Amino acid sequence: MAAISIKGVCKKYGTVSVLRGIDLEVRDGEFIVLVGPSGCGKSTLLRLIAGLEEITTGEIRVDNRVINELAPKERDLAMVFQSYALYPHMTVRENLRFGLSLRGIPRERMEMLVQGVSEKLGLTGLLERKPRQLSGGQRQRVAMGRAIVREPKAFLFDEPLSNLDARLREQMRYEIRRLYLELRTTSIYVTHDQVEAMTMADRIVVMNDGIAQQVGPPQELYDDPANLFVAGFIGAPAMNLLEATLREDSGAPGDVTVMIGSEALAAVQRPSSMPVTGRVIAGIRPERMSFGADANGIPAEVDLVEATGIGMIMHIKAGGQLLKIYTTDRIKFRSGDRLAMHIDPLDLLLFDVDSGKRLRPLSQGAAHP
Amino acid sequence: MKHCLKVRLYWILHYALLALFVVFALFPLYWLVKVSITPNDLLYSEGVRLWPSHTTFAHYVSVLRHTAFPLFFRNSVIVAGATSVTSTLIATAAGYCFSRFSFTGKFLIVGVLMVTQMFPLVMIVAPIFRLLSPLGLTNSLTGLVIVYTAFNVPFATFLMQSFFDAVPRDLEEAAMIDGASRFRAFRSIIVPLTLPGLAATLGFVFTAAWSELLFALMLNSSSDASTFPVGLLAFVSKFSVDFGQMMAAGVLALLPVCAFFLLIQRHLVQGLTAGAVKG
Ligand SMILES: Nc1ncnc2c1ncn2[C@@H]1O[C@H](COP(=O)(O)OP(=O)(O)O)[C@@H](O)[C@H]1O
Ligand SMILES: [Mg+2]
Repeated sequence: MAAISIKGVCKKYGTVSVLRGIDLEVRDGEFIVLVGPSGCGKSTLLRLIAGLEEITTGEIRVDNRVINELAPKERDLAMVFQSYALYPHMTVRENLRFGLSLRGIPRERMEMLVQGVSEKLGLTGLLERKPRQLSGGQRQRVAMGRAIVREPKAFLFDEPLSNLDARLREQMRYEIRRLYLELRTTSIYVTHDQVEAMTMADRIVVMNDGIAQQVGPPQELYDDPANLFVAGFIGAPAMNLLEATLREDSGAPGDVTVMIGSEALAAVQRPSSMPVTGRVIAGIRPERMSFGADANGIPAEVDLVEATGIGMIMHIKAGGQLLKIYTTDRIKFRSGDRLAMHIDPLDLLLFDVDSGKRLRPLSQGAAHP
Repeated sequence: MKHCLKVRLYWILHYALLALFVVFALFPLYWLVKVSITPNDLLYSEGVRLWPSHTTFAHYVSVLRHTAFPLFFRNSVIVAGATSVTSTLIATAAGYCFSRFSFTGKFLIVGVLMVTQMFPLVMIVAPIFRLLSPLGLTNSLTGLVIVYTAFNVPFATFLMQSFFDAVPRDLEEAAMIDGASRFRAFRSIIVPLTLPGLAATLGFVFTAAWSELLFALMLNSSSDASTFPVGLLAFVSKFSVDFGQMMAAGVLALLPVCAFFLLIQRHLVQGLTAGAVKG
């Protein structure tokens, strides 16, 4: 097990910057998830850590030792690939043994380790099979087995579940997390699926465009996103992001009113840096909005109702903009119905229109209820 | 019913065409064997018969006993064997580099390799002779091996590169993370997976070197260093052609190639269809 420290890491392919200054401290035994849209540089970062690509500038340390120049084999990390990358001409047993034999581990001990891992992963009956004779889920397990049998300093996962169907993915997600809780080996897990990120991570790194947008525990990222990108990326259904304006409130001196169109959404504390134009993006989670058929509240019209089984996603139109409400109540609204929505001012997050940065109230630190 | 008939007709036509092609391709070989066992006195009188009224192995016996053919044959085995092994080794190394690394000048090197494949070899017989003769590499099997290797490496390299391209990079990267050096990953993972390609390349170069005539004739004038295609010409004298012995020698020359392909054919079929399916 090891702590991994990434400092100012940049990666360029020719003149194209793929990673633009990544800083990240992975604690010993921590499960970190890198999440972001496809092409944002997640795999590249993982490959830099594994030693499969050269670092352009910056520094990566494992257990306080700079590993920039080390060959992959000297880093003692294990990686699980999206394609599993099982050696097709070797049996499952040989696949598991390959890394061990390269390290000159004695035969009896090798057999013992392979036995132990295959029992843990339910591979005992499959040891003499070739990878092509295995199902997707079994291949995935062998790939996991190959990684853990060596007891490496850390695990690197590159979208290991994205080749599985939804049901199997959910199960393997659970199994990987269980395995991690048992082994407590430092893990860096790459995915583009924010549900995977939320459910598995100790801490999430949200990446976009070669930059780490925010690092933190899942709930913190969900409740207290640092910018528009994180707010929009984390959460499904996604946060409502509305074009709004701030109007100086005549009533309370420290407050401003958030307006969408001509409708007043809520009165909130004045942000510490007030945008000159008064234009902001107002974000609110679909499940934090309440509604009713009464008259007091923000008037809105139902556009479409989607049933997800667990609940309903109601698309509504208010102040000329489309937004979503998520509820687990069995609602009877239909397209064209009129309703009134209510928003708790504390649930309303404001973002700068140009920079996308979060606009926080003067008095409030980072904390959110 | 009508549909059924159509399908039947299609297959009949299919096999008829295939049979036609096979006959067309194999008939010269058949004729080769036939003439080689036809006694000299029947050669002209029964020239057009499909099978002579009686047969003899006399041509084979005299080729083996009374001509230098066994020597030519040995020379050919040495030259083709050495050429195929050397070329395949070089092509494997070069093909792997082209497939896996990007480096300065790669485009140029690939371009130059292509250019060597673009003009007829006759054009460079004289310069090559002038180059090799001061080095004592004419009338030498080594000289032939060098020339053949040089000519076969470009195509063999492209061939090998395509086989390496078909092996996912993930595999060797996984091996390298597992603790292998790049060379170890190549040896333990990539080579076993490209064996069919290696066999195909080996076979291709072997056949090319085995049957090469132009350079063998031009560079090596002494019969000590002649290969069998040159030897075959020896059966053509000023006034006559000894067809029986020539054909017998030809049949003998076919044997090693046949044996070679029998040996590698299982890999070969895989090799030529590799990449068609995802492993
Ligand atoms: N070898 C390479 N050469 C040039 N560009 C590359 C190379 N590998 C990746 N890239 C580019 O880097 C960007 C990030 O890729 P990647 O890290 O694979 O993204 P992700 O895993 O987040 O989807 C992509 O735009 C991709 O085109
Ligand atoms: Mg990726």
